[in-house]
Amino acid sequence: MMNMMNNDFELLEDISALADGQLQGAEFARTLASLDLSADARATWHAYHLTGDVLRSGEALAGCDDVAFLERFQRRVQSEPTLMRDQRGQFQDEPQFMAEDSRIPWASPLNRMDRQSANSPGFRWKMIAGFASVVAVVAVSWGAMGSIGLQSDQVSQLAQTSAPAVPSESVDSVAPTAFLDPAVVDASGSVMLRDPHLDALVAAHRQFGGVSALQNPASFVQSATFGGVNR
Amino acid sequence: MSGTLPPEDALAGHKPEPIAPAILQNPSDSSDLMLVERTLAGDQRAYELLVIKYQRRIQRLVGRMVRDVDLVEDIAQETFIRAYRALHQFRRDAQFYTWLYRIAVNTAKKFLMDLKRDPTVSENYHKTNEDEDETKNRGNELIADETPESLYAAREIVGVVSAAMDALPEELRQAISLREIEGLSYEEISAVMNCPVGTVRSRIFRAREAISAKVKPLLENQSGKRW
Repeated sequence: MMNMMNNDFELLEDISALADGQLQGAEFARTLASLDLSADARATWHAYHLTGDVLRSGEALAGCDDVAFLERFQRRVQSEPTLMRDQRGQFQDEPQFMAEDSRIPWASPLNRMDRQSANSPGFRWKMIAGFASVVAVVAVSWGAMGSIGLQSDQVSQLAQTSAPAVPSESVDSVAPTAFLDPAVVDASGSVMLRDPHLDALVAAHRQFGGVSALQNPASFVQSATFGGVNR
Repeated sequence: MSGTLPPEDALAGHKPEPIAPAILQNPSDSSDLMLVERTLAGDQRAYELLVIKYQRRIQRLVGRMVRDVDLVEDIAQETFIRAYRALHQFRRDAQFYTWLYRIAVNTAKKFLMDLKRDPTVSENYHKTNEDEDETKNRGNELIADETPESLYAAREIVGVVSAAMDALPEELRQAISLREIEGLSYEEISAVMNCPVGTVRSRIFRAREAISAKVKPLLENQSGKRW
């Protein structure tokens, strides 16, 4: 009986020392195991820290149920995707990795999956490589976009030069066959379907055409609309 | 700031965040690091000891940014969960609490930002934050979801701790004050009190036991739950 009391007394003193960071090695492990097993030991751990908080701040939190808080936390951790436990399970099957990582003083199996700190040298090299890749992709894309843009400009310029302006008074004299024949064959031999009514409407209102809503010449639209009679 | 954290700053229009805690070489940091190591080695109970240790400090910190008690607890919970998820990113040259503090502030900011975006924002939150000043002393004013009973219980704990401190023998009171209030290490306390480190350890323990013997019954009565 006396021995048990002494053990309890020692455990409580160890918990106090643990709270102050004074335990190492076997003492630390033993006290942690006791805290794991004993609700009284955890209550003591809580009471010691609560006392310290009150002494430092001079106040206690109202409406704060620490036991309920921990229970809620435990439930949430259980419903987490258990990232850490999965990783641990995975590494336990990979002893080679553990052997490599044991060169790092604080390495644990989990640390292999660590995201590297932003100040580690490897991280900088990876950043540089990533940045270079992005620059390369942007450069290639820019070149491709430039060539596409040039092609479309060339097409519109060609269309402008090959589509002579039709005098407004000649709307009525537009070749009736072109209006009536909805299918017009262009120079490349492909068939373009045309709506004669639309062509007539566009020809009648040509003074409003040729300028986009942004007041820029829309050369391609112009050539597509008024070039119909010449195709 | 220590540790690697996702940046979640850029929230304008809210109360300024509390000043970060000064970095002191506290001996209890080493036990924090050991508990972190144990957690990373798969011992989840070790992390629960850190939760028990820091939950009140984190709630007090969040409570200075948010006044809704429910929200404070939610944010504190989220803080510990986030820290748990990111624990493998924690750098060992930093203090665990400093890192946790940063997570708590960022989590609180994110909650507040989400509340701003949400048109069905908690009325409690708005009511309690209108016309508030960071430096305003809450005094006897009740905040959301605090009850007169919970306030009384909190004051009772403070009163009991204070009375227990006063009742301590001088050497025990001095030892616990130097440790808990001044944050001195055992070695420093031993130098100040001119006694061996083992005696310091014993005195601090006896002081803690004397105080917690008075506090524990209150805590058990309040929550009615067991650890």
